[in-house]
Amino acid sequence: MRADQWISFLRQYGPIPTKDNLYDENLQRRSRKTGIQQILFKHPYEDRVQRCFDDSGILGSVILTGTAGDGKTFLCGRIWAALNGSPEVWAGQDSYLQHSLLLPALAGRNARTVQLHVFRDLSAWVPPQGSPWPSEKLDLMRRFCLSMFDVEPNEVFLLAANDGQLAETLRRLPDEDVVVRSRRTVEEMLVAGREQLEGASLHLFNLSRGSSAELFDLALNALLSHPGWDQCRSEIEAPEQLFGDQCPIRRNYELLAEPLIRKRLRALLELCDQNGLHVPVRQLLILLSNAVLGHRGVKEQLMQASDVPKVIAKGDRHLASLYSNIFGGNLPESRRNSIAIFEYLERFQIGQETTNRVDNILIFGESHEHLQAQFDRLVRSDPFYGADVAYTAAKQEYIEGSTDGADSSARFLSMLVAQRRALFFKVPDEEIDQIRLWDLTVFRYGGEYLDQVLSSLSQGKTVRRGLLGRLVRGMNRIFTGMLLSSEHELLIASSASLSQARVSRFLEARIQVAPQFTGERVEILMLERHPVLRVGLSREMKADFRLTLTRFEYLSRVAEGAMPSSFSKECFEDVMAFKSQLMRLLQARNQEAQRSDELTFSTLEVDGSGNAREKQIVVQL
Amino acid sequence: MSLAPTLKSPQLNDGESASEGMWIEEQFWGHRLYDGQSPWLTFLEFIGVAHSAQEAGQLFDFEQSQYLSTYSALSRLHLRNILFLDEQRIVHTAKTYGDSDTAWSHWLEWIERNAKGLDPAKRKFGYLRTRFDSFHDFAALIRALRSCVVEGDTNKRWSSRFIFPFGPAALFEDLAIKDESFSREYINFGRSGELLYLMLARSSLRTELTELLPRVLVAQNKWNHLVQRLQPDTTSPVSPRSGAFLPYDAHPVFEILAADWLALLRLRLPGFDVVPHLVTSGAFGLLLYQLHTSAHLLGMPMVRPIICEVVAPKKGLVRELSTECFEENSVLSFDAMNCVIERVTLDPRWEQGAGPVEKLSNRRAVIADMFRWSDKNPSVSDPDELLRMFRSAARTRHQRHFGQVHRTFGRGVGLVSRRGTNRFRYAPTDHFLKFLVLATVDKRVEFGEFLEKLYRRYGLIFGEREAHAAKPGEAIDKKPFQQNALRLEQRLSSLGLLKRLSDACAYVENPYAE
Repeated sequence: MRADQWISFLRQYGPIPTKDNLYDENLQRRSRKTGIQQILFKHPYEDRVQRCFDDSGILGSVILTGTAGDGKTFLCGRIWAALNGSPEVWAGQDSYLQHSLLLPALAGRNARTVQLHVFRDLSAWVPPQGSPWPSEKLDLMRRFCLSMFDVEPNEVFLLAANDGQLAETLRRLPDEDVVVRSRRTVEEMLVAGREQLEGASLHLFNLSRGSSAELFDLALNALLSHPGWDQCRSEIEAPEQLFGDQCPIRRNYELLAEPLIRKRLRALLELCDQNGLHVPVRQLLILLSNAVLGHRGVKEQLMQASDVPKVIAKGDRHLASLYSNIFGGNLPESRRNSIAIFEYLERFQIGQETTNRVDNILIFGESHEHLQAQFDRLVRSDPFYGADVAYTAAKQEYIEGSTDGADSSARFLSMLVAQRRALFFKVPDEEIDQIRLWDLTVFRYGGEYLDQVLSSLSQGKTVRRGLLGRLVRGMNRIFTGMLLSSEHELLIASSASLSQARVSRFLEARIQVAPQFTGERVEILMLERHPVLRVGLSREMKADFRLTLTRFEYLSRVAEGAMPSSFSKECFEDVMAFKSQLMRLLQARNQEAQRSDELTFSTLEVDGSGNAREKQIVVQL
Repeated sequence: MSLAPTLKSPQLNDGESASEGMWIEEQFWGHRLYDGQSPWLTFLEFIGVAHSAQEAGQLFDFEQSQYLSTYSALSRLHLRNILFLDEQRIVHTAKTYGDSDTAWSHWLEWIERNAKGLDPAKRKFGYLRTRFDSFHDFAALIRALRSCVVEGDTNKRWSSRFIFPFGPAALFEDLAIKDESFSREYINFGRSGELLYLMLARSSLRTELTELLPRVLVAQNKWNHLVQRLQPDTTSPVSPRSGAFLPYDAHPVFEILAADWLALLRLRLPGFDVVPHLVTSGAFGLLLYQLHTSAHLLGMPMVRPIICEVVAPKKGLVRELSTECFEENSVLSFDAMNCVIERVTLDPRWEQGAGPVEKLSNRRAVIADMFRWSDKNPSVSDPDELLRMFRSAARTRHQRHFGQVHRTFGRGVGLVSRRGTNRFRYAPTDHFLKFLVLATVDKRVEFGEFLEKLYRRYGLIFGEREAHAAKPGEAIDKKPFQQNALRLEQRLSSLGLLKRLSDACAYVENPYAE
């Protein structure tokens, strides 16, 4: 392996227009041809899948599902190898493979053979849309359905398919009892996110439910520790050649290894996870290879070894900035938008959002007595992507106002975006609050969400009371449509006729936030890796509201500001749906507690300081 | 279920048909679908009929739904006077007099002098005083109830104002109220609600509906109690009503409607939250009934395509086709009527007659027999002129009301809109989409299947497969429809009604399903 070969191998992982990176098989082939090792790591699901085929007892069939690029086929291959499947057969073109598993005799059981059917790509095997099932394929699918309900099946299946194809395939089978039953089973597992269901000899692993942040750690470690980099180091010829002191590839590689950058990037991915945006392995590899090799000015926006001296000579090094590559800033817009990871990161609006403080540092910091130290530390000290000559000149022109107006200020503003993005990765933890780092994103409460919700909960601690109070206040404002500031109790109100009215003046119940002997309480806890706001109405009755990052942000903003009902219609609907869930439970809870000789109505008003005033009106029956 | 004409029809010179001057849409679609009646008012009229039947122990009874069915309507004049007569009076009195007793006596004196539609013996409101702790409590609750006025912004006349149907005590009919008397009014209750009732009573699911509808007619809820306590203990006067006519005993749309209602009534929605969806479903059902019946009369397949645009930022193919489709559908009833009129020429008497005079009188008889129409001042002498005149009279009448039903009902339920353009098209609102999910999705269904179901059931077209199925043989550009479906997906997701599993798979979910 030569260093330049490694770089061009790495390029194959990046967002290049040819679809070579789409298939693990292609990368494997290339790896075999060049002798360069793939970027490999043990898939987090590998052991669990393996266990299903353990020779002490086969647990039934396995479905591997997930988004394109989650590593379904890859994982199939690992299992195939672990079960001593023939490498030649795997290297072939067939999407359907067979293998016999010999189970040794165990106490009370004879040795037996179980037939394993592997579909490494279901969609390639199923007859195309509109054409009929050939009888042998239909038969095999039927046997697959049957095997799901056999406690000790003689044949088991390992299926890799994305969930859409899987559901579609099952729907296309004729409506026989066993098919209908397995269709229902698989659907339930898919939608409810269950790995197992009682009564089914089947495991379904949805790789998209894994943590992107965890995958990121694995992928980054695998990339950084790849022997290709040692090769690069050993071939350094001159500062302006590949991996020399001036080389942007080397600089990006080193930046990526820095703990702070890694931490911030990981934080973004963790937030993606909490917003229900799963980032598959393939997308992570696109992100990482693009971060290192991206450059707006070279062919396909990804550098080859031979580009390095040219870029340096041209003075274009800043166009290779890792900070902007992370967001796909090197790519043309249309391509960037078509790549999931960049689209997800775009949603943070890093670079577009800012504060006066940040912009003051970036624009006036150089000569400002209070800001200068920060400017020097965060911007000027970075010889690669900080304040270079071009930046200083453009800034000067922008401040003084130049003759060619719009053009030059647009140029400077785009540089400013790049600098803000860089700041997001440069500001040390101690300065987060002072700079208000998260104001550089659209999720102003993102940092708090990470530190005080996710991390507290995963360490088994409770969430700070004040923060819970704020969420309750936000929810109260949405539930009632009034500018309330109550945060010790949750106020559930309706308009006389409907629960979904924007303004609800009739109080149905007040739920204490602090735990009560009745079982009433409001708390935040972690359920299956996601925080939820749980409202307890009694010992038995409770309702959960999943606190995604967006909902957390929405409730916090509603609590602290006025009512940005336009901020997110989706969140508003979610909160209202939760209210209607609570009202339904209340109806059941309060059924018995009615007096028969009078009616009581509680109306809700806000006083000057935002307190909820309740007035009771009694009507004699 | 196919379409089956009813056996009992109004006879010539029956009161209702004779007073209409023409009996044509009434004969084939019913008496009557009235364009001036909004979905909410249709529902209120319906629920009044249903309540009357329930009281009589005949809810959704098929035999009782046959012509000439009757029901009892309530006037509830005390309640209406309190709620709607000079609305500012109560608020003003409460503000002016801090003392409850003084306030009561001022207001009681005023209302007992001014209440309308009641003779002096009945103009007594003193019973209210003992039922509330203070006048101010009373005033606060009246204010609350007034915030639940149905169509609060559009109906100005006090005697045509209605409150939300909390329960039996809150139901009353549309009236024209004079000083001490009142009479039935057709402006708001134009019989669309009566037809809706008959449709459900003639559906095959009437038994299940009989069991479930009472869920929205519960007397045991505090708002109904409150409304009850505003009225004297004596029962409100009851007036018998009749005259509605539905020409079919069975019809596919009756089944669609009934199935939708059952699905909605089975949802686990708190309080009265199901009502707005029933309102939408009812009027949408009537719209489909008119459309499908027209198609049937024209000999077309009954389920008509309704191409829906999920509003796009700029105009495109889907919008264009949707506009076109709307225009075709909204004249369908007119075409059907013309087709029906044509039947006069098939009558053997049509061409009979020695001379023009005899022929003319034969033809007059045919038209009168079939459609109960005659030229008012017989000035026609040419037999062919008579048909032209009849057509023109029918057209004028059709355009005035019946021809507007598709558009007004469509707008009322949120299916038809002019948003972003100056022409009407099908561009459903969020509320309408939500109704579709709640009515058709049993827990959850894959997105593609959902689209297919909407097409099969209602003819609604969002995606490319359905567009293709509706226009076989025509080359339809797939992409705009794919994008349309994608926008629908996004809208549903923002309403919390869709869960995307991955790039390849999404499920529409009904969060309120049992």
